Amino acid sequence: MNVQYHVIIVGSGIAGLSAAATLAGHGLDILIIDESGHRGGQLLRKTRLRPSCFSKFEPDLMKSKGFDLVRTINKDPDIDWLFNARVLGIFKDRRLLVHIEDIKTHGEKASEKIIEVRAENLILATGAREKYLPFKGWTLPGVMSLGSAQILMKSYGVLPAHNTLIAGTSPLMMVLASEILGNKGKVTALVDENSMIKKLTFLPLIKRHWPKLLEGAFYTSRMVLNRVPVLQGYRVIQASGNKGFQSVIIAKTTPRGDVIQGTEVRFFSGALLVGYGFAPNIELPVQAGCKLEYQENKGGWVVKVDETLESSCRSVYAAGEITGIAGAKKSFIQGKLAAISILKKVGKINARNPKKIFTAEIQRLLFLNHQQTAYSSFLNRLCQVPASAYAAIPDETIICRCEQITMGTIKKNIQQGFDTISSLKKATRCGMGRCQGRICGPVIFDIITALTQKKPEHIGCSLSRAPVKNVNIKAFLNS
Amino acid sequence: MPFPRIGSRTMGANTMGNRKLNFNRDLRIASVQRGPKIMLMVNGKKILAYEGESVHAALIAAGIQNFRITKTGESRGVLCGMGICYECLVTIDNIPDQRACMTMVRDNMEIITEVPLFQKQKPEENNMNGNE
Repeated sequence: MNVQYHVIIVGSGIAGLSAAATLAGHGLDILIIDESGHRGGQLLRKTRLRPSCFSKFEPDLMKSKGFDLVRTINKDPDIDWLFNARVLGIFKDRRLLVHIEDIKTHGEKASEKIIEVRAENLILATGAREKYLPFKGWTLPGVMSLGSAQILMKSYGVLPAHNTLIAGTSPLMMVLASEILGNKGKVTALVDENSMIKKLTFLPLIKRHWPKLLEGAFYTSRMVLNRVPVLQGYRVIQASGNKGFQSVIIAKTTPRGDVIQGTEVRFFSGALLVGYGFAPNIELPVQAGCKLEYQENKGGWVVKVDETLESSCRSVYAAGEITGIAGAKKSFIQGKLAAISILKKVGKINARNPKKIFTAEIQRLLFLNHQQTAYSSFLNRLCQVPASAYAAIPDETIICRCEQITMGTIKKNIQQGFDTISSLKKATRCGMGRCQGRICGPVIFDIITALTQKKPEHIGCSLSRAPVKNVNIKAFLNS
Repeated sequence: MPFPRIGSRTMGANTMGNRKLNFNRDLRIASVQRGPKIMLMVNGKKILAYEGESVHAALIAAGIQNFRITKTGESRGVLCGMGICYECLVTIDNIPDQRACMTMVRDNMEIITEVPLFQKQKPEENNMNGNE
């Protein structure tokens, strides 16, 4: 461990890995920091299958590419790793405060402390988290996100429940249902908010990415073979149960997104998995002072970057989902692009160095990056929930799960004029709990937009201050 | 009602002929290779887990969905599963409010779920100044 690095990469997902792989071998000191204990972020989670099992069909090319990256980087002596570590803040001259935990193997309690590292160049690749559409009873145990179920199955080989109902707008629903069936679990039903007609209108946006349709067809056929009921154009209205989730009521929606009364159906299930697309993890860039921009087709507030992927802060680069939700391929390309920008800046590649990556390569990557961004608009439009759905949330529904703030309270305060994220936060405490608005932030943004029709720039984005992640005071005392 | 008894009909993998259902005991997928067996104490009961699992996976596999309890007495369980939502807080080895999804299981780990707020007060001797 040094205290100074040429490049520090925050997040070891696809973007972080591809940046590290490109930077390696140029004599630069590189540090990768990741909050979890494994390499590869949320996408690269490998299930250890029994040897007797034949290898499963993997329709996702990016994953195998990602695992290759992990293998090559593992051997590189230039790269230092910090696992189970969270960056609490980025300060002047790219000084990072990092909270590290020593996980001891047997019986002993973990010791934690805070260290300071300095980066000449910083790549932020903090990824994304899931978005939600609150409904009555979404706080019941047993209501989980799609990603949560995927982590359970892939990392730990555990099914979320004996039978599962999947609902939402995300194309990931299909993938997950297929995975559950592949692991011999049961899927009660798949409830898709998007009607068939709505999906077809988005089809022209897919353009060059038609192989994704084949992937979709593969999952659909699995659904049909297993006789899973697929309901399109339905929305979850209410989840109920005694101490945990037991049943869910869904209802048909109009193309504009209003619920049609009298079409309610009740399903009984062990768990409800919901997915309404993704929101970028912008807390750390916001704390660092990077400028944001609101892009509806990129998943909301994203970090504003120039063509070299440098943010408004000098030598702070952003790559992957935080510059716009678009999936693994774009993250891979952007990680590479950010790394090349840094290599160019420090003079490791130039016109006299023909063996290394060249202008043509950069042009190609920029083109690919542009292409992926086009695909992202298809993805994000598909995931988007109509504004009327947010406006129609019943008053007793909890919006901020940590502080237990209901829709009624939020509505009342918006009507009183607290129509920005920051003022609403001060007026109601929504977003002040343990998750620091990571779950309810995007929801509250959409609620204010739906109720007031104000511009995104007016509503704004939640402020983040150091420490951006919760940390025990003990950690400071140890340092 | 367009879909009357749909939820109660048997469907899913078990309708596919001779496919065997493997969750007679818990929710673990049979085809996955696991680490050595270990024991956890969850709310005073012994529960089987495997090394390399997270606490939340072990609890869900054992059929426990309720993890924390709010100020007003509502039960909450896992939501995001990746350390963002803080809904899976449990008491682990007498340390309250640990994220179950970010903590790996250890042998003889003592886990208490749904600890009400008034029971969370740490005893005075609990080390505030280091690891000693």
